[in-house]
Amino acid sequence: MTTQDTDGWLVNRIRDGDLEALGELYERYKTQVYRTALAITRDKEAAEDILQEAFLRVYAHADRLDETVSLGPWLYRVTVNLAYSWVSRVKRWLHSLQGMFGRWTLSVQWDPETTAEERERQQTLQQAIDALSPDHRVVIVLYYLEGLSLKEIAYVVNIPEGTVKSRLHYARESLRRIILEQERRLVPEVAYDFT
Amino acid sequence: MISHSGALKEQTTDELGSLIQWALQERVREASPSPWVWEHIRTLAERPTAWRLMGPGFSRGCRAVMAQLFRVGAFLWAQIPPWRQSENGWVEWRFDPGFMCLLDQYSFFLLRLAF
Repeated sequence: MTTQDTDGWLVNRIRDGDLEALGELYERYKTQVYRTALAITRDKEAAEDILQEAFLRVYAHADRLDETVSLGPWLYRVTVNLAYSWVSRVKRWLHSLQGMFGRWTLSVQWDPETTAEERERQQTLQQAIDALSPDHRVVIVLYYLEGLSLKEIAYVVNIPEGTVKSRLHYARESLRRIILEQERRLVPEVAYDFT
Repeated sequence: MISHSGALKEQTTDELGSLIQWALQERVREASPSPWVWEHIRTLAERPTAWRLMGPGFSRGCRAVMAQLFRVGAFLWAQIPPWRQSENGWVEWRFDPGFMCLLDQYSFFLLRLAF
């Protein structure tokens, strides 16, 4: 990567009010920010709003960004914070509007080749991930979808690495229980044990 | 599409992890933001704001204090009841965005002079 390709070079241009540089950064990180927000909020419109807000913050706070490092972790941090705020706002609404939730949530588009069994397994797992607390869901999304290390997650969520490890453990245990229950229901005579 | 057919029988090193990864990837598969998102960002970023006019002329602490003052100001401004508009012509301009922008810029210019 040449100097002109780095995030820092683009951040410096943004500081001078260059919107083309912001556009280049947007193209570089939009998918990453959008899918993280989507996986946490499960709402396309919310994910787009978060994406928009995250890049407006890049523009507004360009003078405070460290141009010597990649912008990725900072953007993850902003995305997760915005997603947390959105989830907690919706959570308040959900107490009184539980029944309407299905209208807001992301509908899964099934591949025609997906078998009924796979579909059920996937649906169960996705519902189980949705049922996790926001704290656990964020860690699961960052670890399994974005492939961040425990150290990186600790920076993004602003918690100690040990807490990340423990949240990951409890989230996995919770998901393991749900999948095992489903497997026992599908194949009652076989009890699998996950590693 | 990532297929995990029969994955449960294979017992990989981290089977649960690969299942979770699969479910998450399927959820965001081919998900991409609408093209209007960038257009919105561009429009909002291009909008001249009084905030940007402050530039580096003020220290971070000073900007933070002023931000709080402007928040209080905006809150108080919003509390002016709408009926006063019809009663007193002089408050009608307060909802004119062009005038507000000018007013903001002018007040920042004065502030800069003051500092």
